This record gives sequence, C-alpha cells and structure tokens, in this order.
Amino acid sequence: MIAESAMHSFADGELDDDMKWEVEAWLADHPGDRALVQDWRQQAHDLQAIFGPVLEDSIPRKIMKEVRRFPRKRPGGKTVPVFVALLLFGAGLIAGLFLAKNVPEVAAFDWSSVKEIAANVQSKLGF
Amino acid sequence: MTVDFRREVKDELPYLRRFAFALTGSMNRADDLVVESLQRARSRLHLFDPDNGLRTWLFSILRNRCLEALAKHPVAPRHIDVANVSYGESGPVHADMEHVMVLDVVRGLDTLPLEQKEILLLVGMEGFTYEEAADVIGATVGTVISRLSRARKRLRTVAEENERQAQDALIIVEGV
Repeated sequence: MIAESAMHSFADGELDDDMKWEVEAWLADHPGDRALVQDWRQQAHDLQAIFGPVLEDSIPRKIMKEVRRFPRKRPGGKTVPVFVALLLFGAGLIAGLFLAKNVPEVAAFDWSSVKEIAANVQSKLGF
Repeated sequence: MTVDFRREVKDELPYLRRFAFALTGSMNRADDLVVESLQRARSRLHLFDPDNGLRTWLFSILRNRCLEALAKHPVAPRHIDVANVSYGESGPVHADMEHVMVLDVVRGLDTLPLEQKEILLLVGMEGFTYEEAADVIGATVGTVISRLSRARKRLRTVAEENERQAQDALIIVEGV
C-alpha cells in the first residue's frame, strides 16, 4: 500500500530512485491511483498554461525603477567572516610572538620516575 | 566569477509578477505588490541569507505582502483571456477541450482557501520543491503536502461538478 503523500511526492518529482520505482510499480497495478496522479500533473500543466503568458510581458517601469536601487554586489556572504578571520589570525600571531619571548622554558620531563614505577608494577605482577 | 545581484533580482521579476497575479486576480494589483515587496526586500537586505537562496526570500516577502493585502481587500473577480492561454506542445487541435479544463482550473482555484491556493501555485506553477515552499510560507514539509492534497482534491471536485452540469445541460438541449 502506497500512502497518498508518496503519490503527491511522486507527481511532483520529490522521490529518490528507490521510492520512485516502488510508486511506479504500485501505479502500474492501480489504474484509479494512476488517474489521480495524472490529474494532479494535468492541474499543474493547466496552471502553467493559464498564467504562463504573464512571463512574456515586459516588466513595468515602476518595478524596474525599484530593481535599479538594489546593489550590484550580493549582500551578506563572505566579507565579514574573512575580515574577522584575518583579525583573529593577526591577534594570534602577535600573542604567539609575545609568549615565545616571555614564557620560561618548560622543564624537561623526567622519564626515570616513570620507568621506576613500571618496574615496581612488573615485579609485583610477576612479569 | 562575481554574480550581479541586481541581475539576479531582475531574473525573478516575471515569476514574482505571475505569482502575485495568480493570487490576487489583478495584474495592476500584482505589480503594486511586487513594487512594495522589492522596497521591503531592499530595506531588509541585511537579513538576507545567501545560503537560503534569493528566490525563496523574495517569494516569501511577496507572499506575506499579498496575504496582508488580501486580508484587507479579498481577491478581485478574475478575468482570464482564454484565447491567450499558452498550451505548449498540445497545439490548437485540442484547444477547445483544453479551454474547458482551463476554466475548470480557474474556477476551482478561486474556490480554494488562500493557504491551499498559495501552495498549489508555489509547487504546481512555480516548481518549488516541498522544502522551498515550506520555507516560503514558514511551515513544515508535512503541512505543505497536507495543504497540497486538499487543494488538489478540491480542484478535482470542482472539475467533476462542472462536468456533471455540462452533461445535464446537454441532456436538456438534446431533449428539446
């Protein structure tokens, strides 16, 4: 049984290949549902036919006047993040240089104590 | 490559005008609403998210503007120039039959609640995906499918009623 919502999704090209195949198989065996889907597609076709001529009209001057007020450059986008990234990079660089000069060297790690503990553990466990 | 944003807006104009006309039933009114929507969009450019797409954003603004306008003054009586309807590849042979179907769709469309009508136009006429249509109206994909389903049922019912009336009229004429 195929849900009606799946048939709408099929009619509107919203399904992935697997689901599409499943719906196609269902419709092949169910002429009533097949007619429904054809009807929905016909409705869309009719709407495009009715209102399609509007797309061919020239755009009225009052609308074009408004469009010309839009900037040519796309708003938002990468300008601010790039600026912020450069700022952070610069701050990090300065902080790194400062720390390299001013923080005392970390004392070398003493591995002998670790080896001593390991030897004790091994002897207790009988390795 | 740099994209000309103004050009992108211009490319959407025919579709914005068509959507507004289909919703309001008047080309003059549709054009005024497109102008107002563009003004609103320009004053809110800082809110535009390039990741969500210009088309969805502009349609969303126009849709809200249309709803506000229709709340004040409901849809005008529609005049469709049937002789000017474009049938694509079906050609003039089927034109008479298609005229009847077109009138069914127009009559049906005008009986739909606005919330169903807008979804039918966004998905069926403008080719929005369910997800894009959901973004335009600010609802979930489930809501889109549910409204679409009810709209399509309603259109079908109107077409069946018209067909029945036409058959009844034919019987009366033949009986005379």
